[in-house]
Amino acid sequence: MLFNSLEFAVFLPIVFLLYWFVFNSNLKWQNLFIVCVSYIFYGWWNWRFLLLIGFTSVCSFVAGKLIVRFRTDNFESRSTMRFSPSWYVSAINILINVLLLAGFKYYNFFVDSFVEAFRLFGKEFDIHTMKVILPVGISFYTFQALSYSIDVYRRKLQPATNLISFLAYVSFFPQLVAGPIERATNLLPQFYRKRTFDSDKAVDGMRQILWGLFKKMVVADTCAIYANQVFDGVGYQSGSALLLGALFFAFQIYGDFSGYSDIAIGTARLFGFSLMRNFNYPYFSRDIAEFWRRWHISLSTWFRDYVYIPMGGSRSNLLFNIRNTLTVFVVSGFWHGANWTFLAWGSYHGLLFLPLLLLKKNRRFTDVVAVDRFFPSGKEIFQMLSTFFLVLLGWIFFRSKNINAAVHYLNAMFTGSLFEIPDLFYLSTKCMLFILFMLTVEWVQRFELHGLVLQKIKSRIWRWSIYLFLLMAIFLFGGGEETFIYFQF
Amino acid sequence: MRNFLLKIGLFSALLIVLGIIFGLLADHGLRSLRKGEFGEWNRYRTDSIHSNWIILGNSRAYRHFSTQIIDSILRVDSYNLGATNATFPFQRLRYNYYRRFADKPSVVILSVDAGTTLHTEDGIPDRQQFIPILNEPEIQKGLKGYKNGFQWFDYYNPVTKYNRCFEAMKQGLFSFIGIPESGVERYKGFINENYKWDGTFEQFKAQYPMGKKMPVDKNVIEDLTSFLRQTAGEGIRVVMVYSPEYIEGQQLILNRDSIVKIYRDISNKMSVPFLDYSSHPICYDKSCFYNSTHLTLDGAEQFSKIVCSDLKLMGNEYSR
Repeated sequence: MLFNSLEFAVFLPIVFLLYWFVFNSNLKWQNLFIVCVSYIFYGWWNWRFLLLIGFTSVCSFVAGKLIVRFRTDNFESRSTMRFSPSWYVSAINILINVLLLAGFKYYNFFVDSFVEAFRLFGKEFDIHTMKVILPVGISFYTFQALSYSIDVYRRKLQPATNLISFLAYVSFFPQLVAGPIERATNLLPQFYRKRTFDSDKAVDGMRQILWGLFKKMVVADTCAIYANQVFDGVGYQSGSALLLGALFFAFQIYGDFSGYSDIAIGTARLFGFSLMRNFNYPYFSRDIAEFWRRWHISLSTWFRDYVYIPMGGSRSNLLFNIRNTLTVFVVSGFWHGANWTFLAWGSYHGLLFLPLLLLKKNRRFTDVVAVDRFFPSGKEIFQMLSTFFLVLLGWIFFRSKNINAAVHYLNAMFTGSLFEIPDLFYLSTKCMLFILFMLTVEWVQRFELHGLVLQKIKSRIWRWSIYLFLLMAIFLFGGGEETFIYFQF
Repeated sequence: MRNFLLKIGLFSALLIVLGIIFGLLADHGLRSLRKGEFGEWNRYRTDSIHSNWIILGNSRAYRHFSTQIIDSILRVDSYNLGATNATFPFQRLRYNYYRRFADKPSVVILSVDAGTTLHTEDGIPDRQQFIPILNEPEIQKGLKGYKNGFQWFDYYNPVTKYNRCFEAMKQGLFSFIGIPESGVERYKGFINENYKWDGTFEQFKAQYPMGKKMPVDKNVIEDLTSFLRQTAGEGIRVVMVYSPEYIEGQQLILNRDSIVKIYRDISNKMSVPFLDYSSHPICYDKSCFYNSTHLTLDGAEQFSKIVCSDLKLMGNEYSR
């Protein structure tokens, strides 16, 4: 079920009313209700894959139980923990999840790459690839389930005692298919507590949903029309049109993914849950390190906590630190999909990050840009624009069908025609106005959790006018029911 | 909770009321337009057109067949029903709607081509044009089953049909408050406006350097044949015309010859004359075109004279 579909518009109010009026009296029933509606939400796409999500959840739940059962009472040192029975349980659970993920997502890629690699040396293999349907959101819920068992193993979390609560944690419908990738330490305890309805939170949740829908249905879906047009016809576009196409894709993916996250977080708030923030106005970043603290925060912090730090993080020597950083970027790129383009995208960001790491400038910007002013300084504008341009070049790899297409795109872009005004510029004025509007709102709201925090506006007439304006824009310009880009990951 | 639900309820009620008001105003405005596709549908309904010659087709019809020239040379009263990007089912839908308000024509010039006539792959062309007449049962029937079609509830309320139709809402409201329409007013359906070479052919050529195979839908061929059967039954004479296309463009449509053959076969089977101008000298003169499929105004006037003299040669039944 898509957030921007008619089905969801019917589903959400029904679930909301049943949740607060019918199942509110008993926490167990309320959690069971969440599991049921989450499975309906997921099964709407393909009910067969409910078995997969159920299997993943049960594996991690059982793993959590066994880890504690096999654990000795004394706190084990790092070295004695390794190869202990609880270590084996955790490792097996990780292996099962990773194998499932690899099987569904990467099998064909590995087979193709293997055959291609041997072909270079004159060896021909005839290994058949399979028509594998990629389960929607598999990377998201697998990572969420993994984080639970790892945290239990690391004693950061008590294992779940109740299977229903755990199933609800893994399958919680607002963030099931495209995140934020929640940590068990944050979300699971919320299923143990009785939720009480908070009107202010619910109203703010509704606002966040509205802003998310605007970003997805108006900005992203309109940008998609022009981005697709350019990326599908690179051969006959001028350099400037290609630059514009990349720019539209940059805002398409931002509007699409951050819009989804806003809808997810807002929906969760309607049900009394707090999800972690996933985007923090990333296109206002002043360098790549800041960009990665603001873009897909739940994934970057996941990789930081479960890959980078266990590998030694920044505590080891410089060479190891470089290795760890590059590994995280490459793996993060590969997480997005089975294509060399994602690996290239991840590596490219890793290479952009390295100079900052080497010069120890990767934590230069941890505050909000122009913190004490409305307008940024000339230097800040330059920093933001140059960072955005570097990110935009990376998106060309992300969006292209293969590496050759990306290189061809870049070659065709950096030609003399880069400085012409393309026809697309005039054709897409409406789209550019949407982008400008979104950026202006987000700039004004850059200190807030989302673009539509309106507590400061006391007049109801103004607030309602803003809602009406956004709803009208969504109704008249949006509504194409384009699927979310991140569903495929 | 009660407060929250009350707020949501109040806001939803306000939204619905405003939506209905704006929808009704926009509907009213659209139904009084005189230009563009909205204007054409309105003319059929309000202008009591009683032309005895009808030109049917897509944009190539309303750009190539000058009603002024046809009227003056053949001394008939013609009207051009050409519609932008219309595949044959939509050409027929427009014809049927027109016929509800008009007398039976004696002759129909059916403009055919390889580009859009014989398939429905692109769904409903310019779907916004149907918004003000969506309550009409024959329009509802004609729009059924298309991927970009309307939902059932769009037929019964004045709001939801405007979803993703900003231009229609804008034009409707502007028209309601009396802001003058922009665009060209057609002369009896023909667009009397000149254009310069627009470069879309170069884009097409770059996109399909090896050429493109145009889709052909058997159901549309069947629809075309049944239309010819229907008109024959009513005693309406039809002549199919493949108007000129720029020669370089012709070469890029890989299955053009087989599509022309389909028309020729239909022509033989249904005993309908077929005039094919695919190799006419005008096709080699780039200055007569503003892209590979559309003639300039000068080209259209030149072609209209040619087609009139050819129709004259065909006998009295094709002139007064």
